[in-house]
Amino acid sequence: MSVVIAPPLLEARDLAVQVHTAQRWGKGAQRQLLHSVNLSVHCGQTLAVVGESGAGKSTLVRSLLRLQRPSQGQVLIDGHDLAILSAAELRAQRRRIQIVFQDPIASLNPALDVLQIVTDPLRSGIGAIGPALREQALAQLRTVGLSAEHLSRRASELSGGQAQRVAIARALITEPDMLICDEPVSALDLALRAQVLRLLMDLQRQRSLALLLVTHDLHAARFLCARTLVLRQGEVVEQGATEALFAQPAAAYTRELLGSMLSVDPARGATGSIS
Amino acid sequence: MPVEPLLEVRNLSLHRKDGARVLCELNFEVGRGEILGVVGQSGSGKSQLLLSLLGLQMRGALLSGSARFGAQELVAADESAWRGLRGRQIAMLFQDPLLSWNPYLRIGRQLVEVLQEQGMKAGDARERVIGALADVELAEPERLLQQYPHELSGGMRQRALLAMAVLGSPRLLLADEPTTALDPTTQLRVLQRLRALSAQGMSILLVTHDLGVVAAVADRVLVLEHGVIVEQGETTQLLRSPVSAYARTLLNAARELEGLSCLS
Repeated sequence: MSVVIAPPLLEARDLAVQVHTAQRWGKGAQRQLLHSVNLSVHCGQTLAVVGESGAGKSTLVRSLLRLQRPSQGQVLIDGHDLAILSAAELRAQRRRIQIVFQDPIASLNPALDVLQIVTDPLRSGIGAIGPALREQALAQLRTVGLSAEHLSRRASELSGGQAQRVAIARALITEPDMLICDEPVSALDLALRAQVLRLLMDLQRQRSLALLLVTHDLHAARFLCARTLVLRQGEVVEQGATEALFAQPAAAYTRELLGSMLSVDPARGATGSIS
Repeated sequence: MPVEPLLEVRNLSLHRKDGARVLCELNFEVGRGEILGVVGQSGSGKSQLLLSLLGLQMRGALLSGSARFGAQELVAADESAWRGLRGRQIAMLFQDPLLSWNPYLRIGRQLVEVLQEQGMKAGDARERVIGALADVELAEPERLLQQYPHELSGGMRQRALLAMAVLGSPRLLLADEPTTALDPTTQLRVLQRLRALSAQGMSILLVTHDLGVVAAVADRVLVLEHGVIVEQGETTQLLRSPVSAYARTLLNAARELEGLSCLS
């Protein structure tokens, strides 16, 4: 194994998140959503964060993007602590790490057309769209399998799969080093999921993008990511190379999770434990 | 072909008030203790089929053909016949567990009511309900009875709903995407429970998008496209060599994700 000298592109050190939950008679209670999470993703690497609802997956994403303040620990981009960056530095870093959300329609502004949506990150929502910018948008649309005819559509005129492709094009236009995808296909029709995941895989390979995939779908994690981290109730259960983790899970919870995977091949999957 | 069909559907069609065709000449049967998977795209008529089998088709819609449930003809059933059938003989499990509960009433009250309607005493009913909740592997069923639907997680609500749907020991359970919103481990528990119920003789019509779910529990499958059955057969057979374009596309998408070779 080669020695990696550069700091990771994205790193979480001992990251914890605690929130106040409002209670009826004025007194708030503390609730721990994440307990000292450690993870790192280097340039061009892929990591899946898998877990069930309530595991803290979305809280983790939010704190990696500084949309949620951690109560403890650090998030580092290229070794720089995200918490102490100035507003301008933070803006620059956010261009390098883009996000694709779960609900493709909800993540697109309904008042804008696709051209405006895709170029939005480069003009902060206000700049004019010249021919050069239009070309750039078109180039990104083509890489996600859409064409010029989609430029003038609005989010409501797109299918779920097309909308998620637009969201991916918007994320790519800043030429990021990393994509964070929070359940990118769970809102899509099953037949479309494979298509969008294949698109993400091709993009990741062509551009050697780093990729953090958050999902409850273990098939998607194995399909796309070289490493996998299992999260449960805010704690990292285990993490490691995906193939090894799937072949020989160390934790009982991981075994339970893998045991619940269904397969369309009647000879595989959890079929045996059902009938 | 099932030996003893519980439900026998012949030339069943459903037309909307404006004449548009929703279901066209459906022919299939469900055997006693059989799980029949119903697969199809959104808009293919899956949910309308289930609703029609409960006499809950769209207002003004025209249902024709025949659907024999034991000795009862469902297409011609009047309201009083439906009152004896719904919930007692044929029960429905909806996809969204939150919409199916009354948010103002405690879980216990809603469950016990089902049995009291059927003439059971409150004490006995309570005991049965606690047993039914334990059957779907919900911990601390006594405590659960005191809780409101919003206090439960989605997975717990769906399992409690399954417990409620089968409280009256229906002979046929209509399940509309019952595990789509669930986590993998909870999904497995619900599927295991469905399997156990079918082993006790309950027949289940299971609507789903997920061929993994079909592979796990369905004995046979029918594929619906624009209200027409384009394919039906034994699960293993259909998953090995699907004939319809829709089943083939869906299967190959799932196979690719699983790292299996695609079917040509």
